[in-house]
Amino acid sequence: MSNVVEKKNQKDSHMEEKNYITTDYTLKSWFITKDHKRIAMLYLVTVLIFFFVGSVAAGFVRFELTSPNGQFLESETYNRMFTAHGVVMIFFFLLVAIPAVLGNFLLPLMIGARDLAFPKLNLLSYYLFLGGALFGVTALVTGGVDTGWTFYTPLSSMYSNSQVVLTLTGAFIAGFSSISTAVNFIVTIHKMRAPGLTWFRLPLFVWAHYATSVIILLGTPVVAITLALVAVERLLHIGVFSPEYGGDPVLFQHMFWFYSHPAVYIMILPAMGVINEVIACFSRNRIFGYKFIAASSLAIAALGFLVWGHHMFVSSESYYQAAFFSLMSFLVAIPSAIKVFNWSATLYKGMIYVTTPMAYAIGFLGLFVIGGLTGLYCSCLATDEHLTGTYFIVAHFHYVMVGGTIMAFLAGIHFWWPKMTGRLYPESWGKIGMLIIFSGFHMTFMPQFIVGFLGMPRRYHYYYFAPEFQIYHVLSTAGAGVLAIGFMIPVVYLILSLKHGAKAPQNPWNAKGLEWEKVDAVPTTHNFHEIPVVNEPAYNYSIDDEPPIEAEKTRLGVVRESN
Amino acid sequence: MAHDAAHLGKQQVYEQFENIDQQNESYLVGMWSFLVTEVMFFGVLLFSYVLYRWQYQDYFYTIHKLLDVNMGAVNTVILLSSSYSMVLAVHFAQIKKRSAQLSALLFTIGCAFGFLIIKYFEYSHKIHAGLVPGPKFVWPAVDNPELMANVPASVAQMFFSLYFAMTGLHGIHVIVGILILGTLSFLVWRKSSLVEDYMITEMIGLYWHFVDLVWIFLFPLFYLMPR
Amino acid sequence: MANSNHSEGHSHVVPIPVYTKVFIQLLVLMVATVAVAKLAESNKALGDMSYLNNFIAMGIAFTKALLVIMIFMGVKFSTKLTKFYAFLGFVWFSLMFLMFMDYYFRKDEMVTGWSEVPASSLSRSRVVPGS
Repeated sequence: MSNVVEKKNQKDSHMEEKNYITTDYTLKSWFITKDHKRIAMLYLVTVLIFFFVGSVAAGFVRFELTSPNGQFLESETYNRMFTAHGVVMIFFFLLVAIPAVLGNFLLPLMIGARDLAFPKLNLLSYYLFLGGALFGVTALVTGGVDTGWTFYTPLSSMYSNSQVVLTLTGAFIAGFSSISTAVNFIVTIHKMRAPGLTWFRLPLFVWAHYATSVIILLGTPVVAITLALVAVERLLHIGVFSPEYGGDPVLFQHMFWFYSHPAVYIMILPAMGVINEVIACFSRNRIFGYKFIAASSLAIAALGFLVWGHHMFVSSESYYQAAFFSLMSFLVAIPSAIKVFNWSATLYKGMIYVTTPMAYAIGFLGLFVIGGLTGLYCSCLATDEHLTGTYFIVAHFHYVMVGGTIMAFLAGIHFWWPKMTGRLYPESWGKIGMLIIFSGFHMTFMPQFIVGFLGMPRRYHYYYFAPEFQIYHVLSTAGAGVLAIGFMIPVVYLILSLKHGAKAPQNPWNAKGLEWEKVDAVPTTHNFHEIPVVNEPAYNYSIDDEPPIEAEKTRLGVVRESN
Repeated sequence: MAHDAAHLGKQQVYEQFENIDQQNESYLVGMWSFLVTEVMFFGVLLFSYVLYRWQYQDYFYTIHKLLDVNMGAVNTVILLSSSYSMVLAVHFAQIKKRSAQLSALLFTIGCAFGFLIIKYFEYSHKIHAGLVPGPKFVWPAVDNPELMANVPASVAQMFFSLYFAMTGLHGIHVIVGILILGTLSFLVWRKSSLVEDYMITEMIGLYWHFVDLVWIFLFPLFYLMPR
Repeated sequence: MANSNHSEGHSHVVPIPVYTKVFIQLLVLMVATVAVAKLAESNKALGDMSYLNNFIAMGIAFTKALLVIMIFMGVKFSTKLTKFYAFLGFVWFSLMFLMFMDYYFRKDEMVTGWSEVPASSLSRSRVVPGS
């Protein structure tokens, strides 16, 4: 257990130091590592496996919907498929993808720390995640769940005849994994910053993760105990939500959405953090309105807790209450819009290099704006009465949290791939992959907006009552196929780049930030040879900076004359 | 758990930290942010309780007479004493009086067991009286049938659902506390270098006080319920 | 308590008598809350005032909680950051509590006029999907 750690003794010898990958090749050294970078890589592999599982379930759902009468699944199986898709994608991919992979890897590097504050807790969080995921997978294999990922009572607590308890246990345990990650991040950000790295010199990625961690801290336990109560209700008949005991099933919805709406921000805030880094770097410009973006992260975290009622406009809310939640939901759009405008302003008069990460970041802006603006339709009471429970909602949240998070995740993976693996990926393939994913995404979800607006309810297996919807479903399924191909491209070339990619220099993008400027090409186990002292603001870019390597060809705009 | 033992001070600074103050405060903030999640955890149950109490005020008042105030009061005293011995354990850990620390810890564990034993009597009485919600629920309760007759069985089941859920979750925390405190005492007894640092005891103390804190609210809510 | 300067504010040793005093206070409060409850229970003469027991019991619980948090858990002697996280949970829980309670208080609230169906809309027939 100690091999990794004792490398510290060599801290002062600059030469011949092994990086975090080459320090030990045994499998054991990976599985009991306390190095945040290695844990991040473990997470990366795990969440990608779950992304694949969730995608397969989505594929079944999409294929099934190409016919108004279904293709080959039983209705029961269909319910289990879309639940599997939702549970796996949300609990085991989206919620962890960016914080646990990129956040784990980068936070200590960005703030100039040798590791997170509690490395063992970090490892524990990985195994909790794995444990929760195993419960989830067991539930899938032994029959699946048919309640939808929302587990509404009393369906989940009484009537559903599927593996609800196993799945809930999985989600419960995975929740503790995120809590321990959040505790780790909060303490690290508060206490481990390098000398001179004041709060307003922090990269916005760190701010975003701080806001995310606070949401996790305040929200996750609520859903954990709520889900536990449902499980107990099923198992022992001790019921808090059961109408037969005079309980209120709607109470479940409150407690569930008290977490699960902020959970959307757990997915999207870290994504926004990634976008800050990428956009500032590839437009060679200081981020516009740094303090506003930082504050808007916290504002989203706080306001995000006050809008859960908009999921329940049609489940017995008073009018005043509904109006309040509607208003608050509109208000959340403001900090989100602040971010989008500030990113656009950052591009303005910047020296824009459209590399793959930048392409993904711009794609993020597109998807997020569409998702965000359609969100206003859903937060408006009058339109939401019509749109609730239709494919419009499905399309909306896929645009915001799935499109946003995946685009940012891929942007981040590409941006930091040289730092994570020490290899460069093929730039042209990267852009092809991005284009396919981007267009596949629109092809999949744009028809869903239309069909939802026309009245197609979500979670329905059949739509023989409206066969004219078929064309949209077929289009959407075709788009899903394109999306699937698109996702395979980066997987293939990134894996190939591990072996065949060119060796990355220390700072391939000529980016600012401790992780690029003060850390080796591939970080060593303790990240820094000596703890850096920071004396400049974040994103100290100027358009005269050296371009990113291989970026000359892809520069947009006026080529500046060199004097 | 190897660390280079170069640091010869009373507390070991782990390699990711710069100095002992940073490490200590990190521990404290980390523990407290964990307790934040615990507060929210119990908060949900507390809210459910208040909600149904508000909806079924009179019924809940009648049902609560089935609980034994004296047992609850004794348990409160036991937990308060255990908290007191816990702070003493932290105090002795700080000034490095290991044997005093050990006896304070053992006293805390003893209190925890005492709490559980009384809880066991309470629970077993209720289980025998058929007060566990579910198909086998017996109502009106055998203890006081004429008074309980005008309370609907459904509300009684809700009351006992909440009672078992909240005290049960608290009981699980006590059991976890016993396990942690037991490990800690064992390490102190073996004079392990792991517990040289008083922060370990301090953090476990925080956890234990939190368990006490929950009971401070559960006791008046369930046992001293007024009209 | 006296030398709570910030660098070692939380690592200084609190003398035992401070703890003992708090412990005795806790026990006194504990006896008081049971006594008040029993009084409210038995003494019918209290009549309508017995609801006060609610406030007394919860007030005592809060005082006890505050004593435990401040002294036993050492928040009083700790840094601002620790204090912030120590109270964040309770503040946030209170917020959640108020919002949920507000919801349940207003659940059946109707706005005059909203629930009345305008006459014009009655004449229109509903569009039945698939028909």
